[in-house]
Amino acid sequence: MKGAVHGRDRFELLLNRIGTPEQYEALRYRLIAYFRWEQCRDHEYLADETIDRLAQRMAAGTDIANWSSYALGIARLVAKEHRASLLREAKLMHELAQQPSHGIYPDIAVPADDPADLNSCLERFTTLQKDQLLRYYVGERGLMVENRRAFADELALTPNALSNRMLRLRKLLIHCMSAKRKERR
Amino acid sequence: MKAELTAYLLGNLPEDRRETVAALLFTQPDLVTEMEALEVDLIDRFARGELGAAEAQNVRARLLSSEYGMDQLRVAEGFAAQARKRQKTQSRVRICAAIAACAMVLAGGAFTYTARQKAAPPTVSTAVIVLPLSTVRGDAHVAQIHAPQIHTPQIHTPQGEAVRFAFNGTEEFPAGSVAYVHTPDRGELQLPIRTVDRSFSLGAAPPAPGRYEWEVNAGRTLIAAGEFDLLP
Repeated sequence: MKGAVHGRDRFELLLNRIGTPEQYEALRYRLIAYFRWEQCRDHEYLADETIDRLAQRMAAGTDIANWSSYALGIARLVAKEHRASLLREAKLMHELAQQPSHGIYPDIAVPADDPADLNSCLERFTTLQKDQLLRYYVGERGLMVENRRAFADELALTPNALSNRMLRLRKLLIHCMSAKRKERR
Repeated sequence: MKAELTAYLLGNLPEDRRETVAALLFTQPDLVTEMEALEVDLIDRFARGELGAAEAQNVRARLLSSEYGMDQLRVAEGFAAQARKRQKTQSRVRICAAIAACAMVLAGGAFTYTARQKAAPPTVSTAVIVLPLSTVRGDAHVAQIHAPQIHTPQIHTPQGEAVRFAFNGTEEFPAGSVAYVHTPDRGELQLPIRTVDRSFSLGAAPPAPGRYEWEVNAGRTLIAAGEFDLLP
């Protein structure tokens, strides 16, 4: 394996080609979203697998004009392999259980609502943020779009900026609820 | 475009168009955030029972098959429950108001009702800093922000910079971590967090007095948020 580029060096090479650590993070984030929307499991693992393969290609000297499109090409392949393995798994389970299969993804039960977690996590926000979250997401049915537009106007934000801001707060809420659930396990 | 993206999320696009959207996802920087907002919106509508049977089935199969989707659904269910509760309360208030109005009319009295509702001032539980700008600018000073958040930031005054935040706690802030700060005068700023001293700065210019809201991301994960008032 003389001359081969390994581990850390390979990663450094990848970072150099991609540009900045921020661009690397953005690529990884997009890959995670892509795998989620492509019906894969283990999104983070698959994103890292894609990046690893991309780094391998770069280290091997493959001429890559547009690494972003190239990463998508690898991601498609990884997703295809992953779906094939899920299918094999589902078939095996089917044979073992001797029951009719419900497809790759069995129907999902809606999780039991745990208002205690939601409320205690909401308490970690400031009053203003809590009010904003509730106003944004707990609007009156049918008036949601207009209410959100008026809300953005009040804050002197564009609807998109407000949406991004609320999405970030909501992720914090999910982070908190997820941590609470893990604590109970 | 929105319809196309929604169709992508629900698995309703033919393969070639699906590929096109996926390609855009990797070339348009803000598209992933836009799609996440649509994803959340669909899950919220699912939780409120606003989707048709086919759409609901697609949301179930495609957006709720991950831990992330289930977490979003838990939040959506909580919000939907609050919305139902709020609607019930509003209905009761409307009925009571109608009864009261009828009673007034029957009594023959003139009934004037000023509908202008005074908005409650935003109450700040604990995250308030009251520092004169002169203190922030030059004097050696360290003040704690007692925020009821996950972590407690500190505000202090290093040489040459107006306001710097440094974070306690054990989180790693990998390269690329940012703080979003909504300022009273400059809108929303996206400020890098220095990995060396786990801090971010509002810049060298003296900050405008007013309310500042901040959110901090370690990598792409939002880990803390808060607000403070800077008084002149």
